[in-house]
Amino acid sequence: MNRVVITGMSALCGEIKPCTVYDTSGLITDKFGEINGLDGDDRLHEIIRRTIGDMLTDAGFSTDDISAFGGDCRMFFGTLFARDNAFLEHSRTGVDTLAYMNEFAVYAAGLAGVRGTVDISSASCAAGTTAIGMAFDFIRNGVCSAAIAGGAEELTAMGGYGFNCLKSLSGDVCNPYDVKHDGINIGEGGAFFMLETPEHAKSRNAKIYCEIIGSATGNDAYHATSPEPTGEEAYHLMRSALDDAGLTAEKLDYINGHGTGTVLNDTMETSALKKLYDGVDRKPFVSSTKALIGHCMGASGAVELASVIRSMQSGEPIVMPNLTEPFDGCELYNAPESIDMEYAMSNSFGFAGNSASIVIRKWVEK
Amino acid sequence: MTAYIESIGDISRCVQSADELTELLNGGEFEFSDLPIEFDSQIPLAKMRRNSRYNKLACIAADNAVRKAAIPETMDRRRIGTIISTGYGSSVYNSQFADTVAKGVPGLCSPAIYSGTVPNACVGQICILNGFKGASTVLTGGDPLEYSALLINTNKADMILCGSVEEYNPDLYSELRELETLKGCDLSEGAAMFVLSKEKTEKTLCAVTGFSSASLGKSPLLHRLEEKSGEIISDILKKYDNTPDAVFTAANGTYFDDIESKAIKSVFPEAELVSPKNWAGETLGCGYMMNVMFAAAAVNCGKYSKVLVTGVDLIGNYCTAMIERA
Repeated sequence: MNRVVITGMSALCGEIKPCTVYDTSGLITDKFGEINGLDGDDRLHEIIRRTIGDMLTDAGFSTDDISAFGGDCRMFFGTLFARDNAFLEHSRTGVDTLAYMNEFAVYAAGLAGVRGTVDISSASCAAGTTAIGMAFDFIRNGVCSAAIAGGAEELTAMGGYGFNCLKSLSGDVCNPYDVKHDGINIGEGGAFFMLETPEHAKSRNAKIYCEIIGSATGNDAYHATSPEPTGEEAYHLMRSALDDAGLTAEKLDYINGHGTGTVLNDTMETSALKKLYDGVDRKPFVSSTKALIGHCMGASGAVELASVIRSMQSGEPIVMPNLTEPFDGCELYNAPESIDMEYAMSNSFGFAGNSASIVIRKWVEK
Repeated sequence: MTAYIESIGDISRCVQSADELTELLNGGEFEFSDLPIEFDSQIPLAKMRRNSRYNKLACIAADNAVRKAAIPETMDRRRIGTIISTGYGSSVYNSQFADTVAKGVPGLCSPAIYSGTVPNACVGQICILNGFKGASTVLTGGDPLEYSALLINTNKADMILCGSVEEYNPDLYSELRELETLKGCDLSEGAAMFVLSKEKTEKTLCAVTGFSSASLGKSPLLHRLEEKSGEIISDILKKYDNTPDAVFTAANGTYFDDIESKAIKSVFPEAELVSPKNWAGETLGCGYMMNVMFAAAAVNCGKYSKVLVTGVDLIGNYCTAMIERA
């Protein structure tokens, strides 16, 4: 089996603030994680263009370099909302917009020079983590030798109206894992990573951010929108990812939770974490990036992995700014002043029971 | 990377059972259903009542496959995965929800409709109905069969419910019928589901023994590709070191048929070319898995001992798999 490392990354996300992308009147909130400074009407394509472009530069690859891999470099793309505006424009104007609703992936692959296949993971909020986990599995098992993996999402009225009618939106800024949690802020964002083997990375003197050492996906088999409340399946998912990584739970220094800030998710996740760490002396710090940038839906796993890697490098923990009283008294959510991270996990739990987890290890040159 | 197809469940315009499939392959004649296809279900109505038609297509085809596979009750459901693909997903529900959003009145929006808009709504329902809790995702581009085989061969699953679904949406299909690239084909809908296993059993229909794929850059279903895309196809096919008796192609009555057939013949000149889309119609994101279904049935009933299946999706992936007697 091959080892898999990340040698390039780029992420773009917003801050939670009043939305200017579409009219939010009638929704319970106007607060969304909106990216500043996106020009033009097509935010999705701009997010893709900027993150893939910057990632390739960071990795030291040109588009031609990626094309030179031929079919041996694939793309894995996570998204949920990418087709929304095609449907909305058709409904509003009657113009034919539906047939080409998947072209964003063609655009992304063309931009990157990918000649291998393109997989679009559409496992709702678990899409981004699933996409990265797929890339890891494919390279680890020699199906391909390199991959570009990640996700992208723009703010869409369909998403805002949708989560509003599900009564999932926070009335203010979300507060994951806090007793006062009341829902999500939807965010937009994108993140892409270059994945390859360490041997290939070293052969071209590439810097290595981290190694991906385990991944798992699963399904709650419980409900269309609500997670299985006891956290039993989330617990098993984390166990599967740890088993795949060859780790025990006590080795983890940090877990980036799904942490949406809804009562249902936080309850489920806290139960699962408590079960995982029952009887374990050494426990990780757990936090949610969504507290800072909102819930980037299908791209959330990708954006959150980027935040984990940054935290791993800097030693600065991802602190939830509004957390005052951890839900269920869970001590895992208390932020340390600094964090020395060797092993980290990132989890995503989505609609229709889809879930995904990924485990990474800090890269240390020997 | 080998996986075994234990059972098939399908809904298509021509046949809706494995027995009908075998009869069709042996020369039987079946009338083609108009759109939308009508289909029967063995799932109690009460369990599917609140589901979209997209979910029903996927769940009923999956149920047919699962019933035939007779998965032991004792099998750990966390070792049974679900990997499904689609091209346009739950597009009818998306259209309905978009219509309410376009009115600009949030209070009009239905949570039941919205929760059914996500492409993975069908896999969630399949898992709820069957208790499957293993590796799971929905792809809206890519090869679910290859990924399923990878999961099985790397011990991340013992069995996978794998397949595709594509639902008829009148607005979408009207738009598609205007495309020059689809002139000459019959658009249809359907679902093709398989239970894949890592071990051969007495129920095994056939084995999937190899994969090769790449991107054509754009989908020939939506874009006019040049003749030189045939070179990409040839390179994909040259990765196989054995020759099939037949190739079940992506041919759908359009301009791309010639490009593909020339490429195939340049690598496998002796292989018979078969066009399953003559029976099932062009089912877009479900086309490749529908072809796999026909190939699996053809190998199982002894028409061929080795079939190469090809397919294209809506984002330009050209995927192939070798199906052989187990």
